[in-house]
Amino acid sequence: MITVADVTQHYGIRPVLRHINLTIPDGSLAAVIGPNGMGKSTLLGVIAGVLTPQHGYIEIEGLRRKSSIDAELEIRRKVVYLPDRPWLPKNRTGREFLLGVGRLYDIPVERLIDHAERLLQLFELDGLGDSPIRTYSAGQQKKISLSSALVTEANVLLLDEPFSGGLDPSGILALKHVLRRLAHDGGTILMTTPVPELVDELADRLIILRDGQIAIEGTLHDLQRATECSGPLSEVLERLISPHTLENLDRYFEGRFR
Amino acid sequence: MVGVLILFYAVLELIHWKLFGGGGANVAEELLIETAAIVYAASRVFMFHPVFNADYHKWLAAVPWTARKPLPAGPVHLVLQDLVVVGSLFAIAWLRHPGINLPRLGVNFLMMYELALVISFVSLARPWFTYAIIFGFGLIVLTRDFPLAALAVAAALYVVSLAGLVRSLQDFENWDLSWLEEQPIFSLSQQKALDLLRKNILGWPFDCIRPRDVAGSIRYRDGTMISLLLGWWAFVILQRIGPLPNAQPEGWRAFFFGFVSLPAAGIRASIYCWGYSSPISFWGRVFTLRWIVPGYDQVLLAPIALMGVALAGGELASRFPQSVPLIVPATMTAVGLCAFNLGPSLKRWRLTGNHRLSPAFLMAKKQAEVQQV
Repeated sequence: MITVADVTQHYGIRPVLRHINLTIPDGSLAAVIGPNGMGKSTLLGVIAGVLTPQHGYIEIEGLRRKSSIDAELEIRRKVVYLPDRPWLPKNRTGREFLLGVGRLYDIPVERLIDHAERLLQLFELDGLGDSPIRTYSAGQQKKISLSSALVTEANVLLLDEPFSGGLDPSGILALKHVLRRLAHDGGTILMTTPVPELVDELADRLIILRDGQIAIEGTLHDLQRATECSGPLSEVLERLISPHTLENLDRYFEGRFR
Repeated sequence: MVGVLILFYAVLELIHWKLFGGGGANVAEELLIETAAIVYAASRVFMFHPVFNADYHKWLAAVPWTARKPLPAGPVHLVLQDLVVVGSLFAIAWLRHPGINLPRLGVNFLMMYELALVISFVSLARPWFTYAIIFGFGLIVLTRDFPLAALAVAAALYVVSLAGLVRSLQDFENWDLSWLEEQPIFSLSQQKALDLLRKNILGWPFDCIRPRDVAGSIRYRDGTMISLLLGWWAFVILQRIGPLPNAQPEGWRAFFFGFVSLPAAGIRASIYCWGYSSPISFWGRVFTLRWIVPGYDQVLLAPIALMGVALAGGELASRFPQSVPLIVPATMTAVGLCAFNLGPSLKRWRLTGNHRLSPAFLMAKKQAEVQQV
């Protein structure tokens, strides 16, 4: 379980997150949705330990983040964080990279080798597994970075915009299925995305951020009820976050064709 | 190796005879003899000690060898055969090169031998023998003008290094040389060495947010001993140099400010703070009234303290020049204690500090090896 308790985060004068309270139960696949600049990545960074909030705290599986060396190490054994733009070791092969990450998480060697091989096949990188990462395309680099998160077999996955960065349709399909299955098997997955269409079938919990605060959270059904909208998630979000978008669109096209 | 040196010696001797008819000092040959003694001493350890030969070490671990038996490839400790080689060098020096100080030749031989063993002690985590020998080297430097005394110290250090060698070999089955991989990195080709270094790079976030191998930390014991050795060697150097002509007492202020406090504080701060920024910007602190963030600002205490200690030492040395031989070593020790022992430890800082990780800064040091997706 992930607990975010009254977290406020500043980079400078203006707070990016304000009094965030959130609980993600085990076995959840939760998505933080909102327009750019609303604090999604910041929230994930705070949970991942990249950032330290000015107020509040994070608990993961009952352990408070950064409370002690042992607690923090224990959290890190159970959690993997993948930013939207990771840095990859460009001169190592994809296979070496996956094995290196797996070793960090003390995955037994035989299982690790097998898992790495299956991930390379899943994301159609098996022909490139022994090539240096610098030769990969942007989409392939995204796939290998996603594989590195999955190879850890961590119980908690924190994924910042996992579907962005040039992932092709087969990669998106594979990732959706994997994440769904991991959540079903008891894993906890928290991801961010600005694109609701990618997650409305996937996430069982939606958290909508607006101006650094949680505008609403719950299932899609809860959001539809709250906004009195029975449409898909994109329509619900329009009402919640961008109620003036349609008006602005009309105004834009009026001016364009006058 | 020995053959090469003998050949060189013969060539130099021939040239010397041709040019000078055999008379006069032959500096090149004297240098060759001194070098031969040092090279032989180093080779005795590097060629016979299992810690410097991965294949030998692996083989030894696989056979029923114990420390009670002699090492199959030959002993690391000095034996009678060494007396033949070293004795020959002594004999040549005594007969043909009166410019060479024989006790000093012995000291150089023993110092290089003991230094090579120190490297093995560091590799095998035998700190006390390391510290004792490095301390003893200071005594040798101090007694350098009395070659027989220096030789006695070197001989005493040999006994210490021998004890360390015996203890190391007795503990053979607990040796952890996994960090050496297949070969010591200094014996690898450039490409293999590069591959070995690359093996440990995983980029962001795995190089920084990882469940193990987060950061090394210096133990209090080692921090204290290194600080004491810093002070000791400052004392030794001051004694050897003696009072500098035209030196101004005020020069100590500049020395401690420019050469001690700034570099030490800068290095300490950069190790802790590079890529680990304050969680909130300066103006954020000002306008949100968070002027002090204890969870982050704690990291600045050690650099400030060591700057204060260094500046105080410089001030005292300037005002009391007659006490410089005591003030300077004490200050160096105090600076070392601040730099190494003042908390938080690097591991604690990186795991529990209230900082903001900056991937761009953290990956900047590995620019040649990483790229952002």
